[in-house]
Amino acid sequence: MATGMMPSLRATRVVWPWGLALLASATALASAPLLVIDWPTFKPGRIEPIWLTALVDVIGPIFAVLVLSLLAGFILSRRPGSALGWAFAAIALLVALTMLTQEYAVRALVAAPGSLPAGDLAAWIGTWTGLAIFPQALAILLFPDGRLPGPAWWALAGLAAVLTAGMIVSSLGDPWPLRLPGRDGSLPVTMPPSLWAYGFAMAGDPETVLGWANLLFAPAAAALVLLRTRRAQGDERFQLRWLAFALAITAVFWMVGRIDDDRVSPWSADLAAQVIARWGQLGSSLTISFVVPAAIAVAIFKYRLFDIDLVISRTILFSGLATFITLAYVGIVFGIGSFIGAGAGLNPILALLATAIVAVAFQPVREGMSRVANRLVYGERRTPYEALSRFAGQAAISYSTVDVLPRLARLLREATGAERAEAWLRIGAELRREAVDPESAPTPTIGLKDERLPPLPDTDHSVPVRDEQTLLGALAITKRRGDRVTAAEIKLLDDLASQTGLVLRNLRLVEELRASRERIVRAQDEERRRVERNLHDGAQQRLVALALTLGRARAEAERTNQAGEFLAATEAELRTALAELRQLAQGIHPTILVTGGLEPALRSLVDRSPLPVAIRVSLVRRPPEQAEAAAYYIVSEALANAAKHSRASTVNVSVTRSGSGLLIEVRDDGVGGATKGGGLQGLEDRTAAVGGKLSISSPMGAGTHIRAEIPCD
Amino acid sequence: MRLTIVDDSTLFREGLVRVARDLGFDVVTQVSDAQSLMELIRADPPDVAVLDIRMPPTYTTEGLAAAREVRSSLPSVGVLVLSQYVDTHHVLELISSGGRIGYLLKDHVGDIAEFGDAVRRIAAGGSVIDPDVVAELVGRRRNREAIEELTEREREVLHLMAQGRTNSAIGARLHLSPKTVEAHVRSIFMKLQLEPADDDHRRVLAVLTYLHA
Repeated sequence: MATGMMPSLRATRVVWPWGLALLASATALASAPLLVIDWPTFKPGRIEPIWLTALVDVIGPIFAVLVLSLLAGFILSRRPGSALGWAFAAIALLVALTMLTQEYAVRALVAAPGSLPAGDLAAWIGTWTGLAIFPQALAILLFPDGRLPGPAWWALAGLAAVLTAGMIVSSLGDPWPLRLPGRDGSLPVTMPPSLWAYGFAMAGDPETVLGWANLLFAPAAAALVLLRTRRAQGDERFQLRWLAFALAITAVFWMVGRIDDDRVSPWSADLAAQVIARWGQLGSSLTISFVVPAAIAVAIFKYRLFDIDLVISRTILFSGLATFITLAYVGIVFGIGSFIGAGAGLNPILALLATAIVAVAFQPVREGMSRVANRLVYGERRTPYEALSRFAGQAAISYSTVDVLPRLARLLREATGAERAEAWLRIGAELRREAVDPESAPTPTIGLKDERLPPLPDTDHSVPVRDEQTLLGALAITKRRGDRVTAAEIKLLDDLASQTGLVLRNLRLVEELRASRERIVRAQDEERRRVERNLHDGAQQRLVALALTLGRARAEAERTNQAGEFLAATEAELRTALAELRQLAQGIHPTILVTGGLEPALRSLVDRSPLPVAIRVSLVRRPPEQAEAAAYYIVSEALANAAKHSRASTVNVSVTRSGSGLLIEVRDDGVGGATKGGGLQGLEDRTAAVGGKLSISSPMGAGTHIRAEIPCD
Repeated sequence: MRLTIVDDSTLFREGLVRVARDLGFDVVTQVSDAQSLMELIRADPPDVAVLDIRMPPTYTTEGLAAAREVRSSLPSVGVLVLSQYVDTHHVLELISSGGRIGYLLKDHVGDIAEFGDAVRRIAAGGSVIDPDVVAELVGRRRNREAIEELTEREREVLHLMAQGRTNSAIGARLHLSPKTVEAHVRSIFMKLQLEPADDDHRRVLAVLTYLHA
C-alpha cells in the first residue's frame, strides 16, 4: 500500500492517530441524529430536489470527513510527524466540528428555540471553522509527499494562512444573516457587539479582495497541483495526476458557481446566472465532498489500479462534446430564432435543423476532440518520419538483439501512442517475443508452420518483418482500451517493418556466427576429452596390462633364474613410456577440471608452473562447464606465456565472480611487450566464442596484465 | 588374504587377478563396475577391495565414491584405489577419511612385489600413497624452501613416510636402524614444524596435509 508515497514505512505503528480519526468521524456522525430530527427545517433549494440538497450538504461532508480521517489515521500512524497527515486530520476535524456546531445551532435556535444552551456560540464556531480554508490549502500544497517543494509553495502556504485569518476576521463584522446548509440563510444569532465592531473595524472593507480570493481559490489550487505534476517523476506523478484531475473538475464547477457572487460578478442580479451558479455550486460541492477525497485516497492506496489517463482523456472528450452540442443547439434554436423573430417558443424547424447539424458534425468534431484530448493527456508523439529516421540511425550503430529490439519497441510505442509495443524475432521454427515496451517479464513463443505470420496474442495490429519471402519477425502494437489503430499508424508499422527486415537479417547473421563459434569451441573441447579418454582407457590401459604381464614374467623368470635382467629392462622402459603417456593425456584435457572443478584444476596448474604464482579463487558456485574450460585455458596459456617470455619474478592469478560472470585476471611483473600472436590470439577467440571479452595490456617494461570476463548464464 | 577386484577393463582385471593369485592372495570376487559392489562386499567381506578410479557410467570418479562408501559402512574392509593419473586433491580427501586405504598408479601395479606389499600394508591397517603422488607433492614450489632445509637422507625418509611406510619398513629400505629412522623422523617434524604423531596413519595425514597445503 502507498508504496510510492511513503517508501520507507516503518513497522512501528502508533495508535493515537486512529483515536484522532475516530474523534473526527464520531463528531461528524454525531450531527446525524440532529439532522434527522430537524429534517423539517430543511428547505428545498431554489432549483434542485431536496435529496440533492441533502446529498450535497449532509452526506457529502460526512463522506469527506470519514475518508480524510481514514487517510489521516493511516498516514500519522506510520509517520507521526507528517505535515500532510496533520493537514488531513485538521480538515476532518474542522469540517466535522462545523457540521456538529451548525446542527446544534439549528436545533437550539430554529427547530426548538431555547431547548439547548449556547446556540449563538455554536453558530459562531460553526461559521469560523467553516471558513478555515488554511488546512485545505496546506493539504493541496503538501500532497503527495508531505513537503513543500520550493519557496513559491512556502509563499502560497503563507498567503493561505493570511487569507484564512482575513476571512475569519471579516466575518466577525458581519454576523447577519448566518447561512446554514440546506436552510434559508437567516438565524437569529446574537453575539457580543464589541466583537462585531472590533472585527468590522479591523477588516475594513476587504469584501472585494476576499471575493476574488474566493473565486480564484479552486483554480489556483488546481493550477498548483498541475504544475507540480509536470515536475514530478515516477510514482509521485501518478499520484498527483489523480488529485490534479479532481481539482481541475472542481475548479470549473467552482468558478461557474461564483458567477452570481456580487463581489466579483456583474451578473449577480441575473436570474439565469443565479440558476447556473447554483448548479455550479452543487457540482463543486459534490466534487469537493466526493471526488477530491476519493481521488486522494486512490492516489495514496491504489494509484496504479486504474488508468487515470483514460479517465482524463474521456472526461475531456465528453465534456467537449457536451459543450459543442449545447452551444450548437442554443446558438441555432435561440440565436437564429431571435434573429428571425420566432419568439421565445421553440421553433420545430429550427430544432430539427439543429439536430441535423449536430448529427452531421458529431463524428468529425468527436475525432478532433479525441485528438486534442489525447495530445493533452499523452503528450507529443513522434511523427512517423522522426520514428523512422531515429530507428535507422540507431540500427546503424548496434548489432545485438539485446539492444536493437527493445529500442525498436520503445520507438514504436512512442510513435503510435500505443499502450504496448512488441518486437518478435523468429528463431528456427518459432516466433519469440524478444522485446516489449513497457517491459514485462514473460517471453512467449509461437510455433510457425510456414512463412505466414500467425495471429499474435493480445495485440491490436501486427505486421510481419520479412527478408525476401522469409519471415524474420514481427512488430505489433496494442492500443489503450477504447482507442483504435489509425491508418497512419498502420502505415508507420509497415514502413518500420520494412526497415527492420534489414536489421533483423544482420542480427540473425551475427547471432548465427556467434553460435557457430560456440559450437566450434565446444566441439574442440569434446574432441579433447574424447582423445584423453581414449588414451586413458585405450592405449594406457593396454600398456598397463602389458606391464602387469611383464612383471609376472619377470617374477617367474627371477624364480627360475632366467632372462630376469632383460625383462626388468623392458619393464622399466615400458614404465617410462607409461609415465609419458599419462602426462600427455593429462595435458590434453585436465581430468581434475571435470572431477574437482575450476579451483583444484587451477591450483594443480599453478603447482606445475616454474614461476612463483599467487592464486586467489573466490567462487560460490561452480560456473558452467564451458566457462570453466575457458577460464582454465586462459590461465594455462597465460602462465605458459609468462614462463616462456616474461622473465617475471611473480605472477598473480585471480578468478572471481563479477556480476553474472567470471572475471579472470593474470598479472605478472615481467618485461611486458606481449603480442597477440599464437596462443594469446587463440585465447581471444575462445573467450569471444563463449560471449566473453579478453583484454591484454602489456607495455614494455611494465609487466603483462591479461583480463577476461566470461558470462555464466 | 581375501581380495575383491573391481575394474571395467577386462584385460587389466584378469591380469591383476592372475598377479594376485601369483602372490598367494585369494580373489573372492571380481566385477566390472561399482554398481552391485556393496551388496557383494557385504555378503562376503574381503580383507581388501581393489577399485579402479574410473568406471562406468561416467568414467570420472566412481571408484572414489565406492571407496568412501566401503570405508564408512564396512570399516574392516581395506580399500586400494587404482588410478591412471596423479591427482593430489582426491588423494588427500581419501586419506583424510581414515586408515586402511591406499592410492596407487596403475603403472606401478606392474611391480608385483610393490603391489603385494601395498595390499598387505592396507590389510594390516596402514596407508599407501603412490610414490609419484608423493614426488609431485614434495616437488611443489611452495614446499621447496622447507624441503631444502632437510638433509638428503631426511628427504628420503620423508618420501617413504609420505608413502605410508612404517619406521621399520623405512629402516629396511634405507638400511638404517629403527633408532636412526626415528631420529630422522623427529628432525623432519621439527624442521617442518609439525606436531609429532605416534600413530602411523596420523603421521601420513599430517605430512600429506602439510605438503598439500
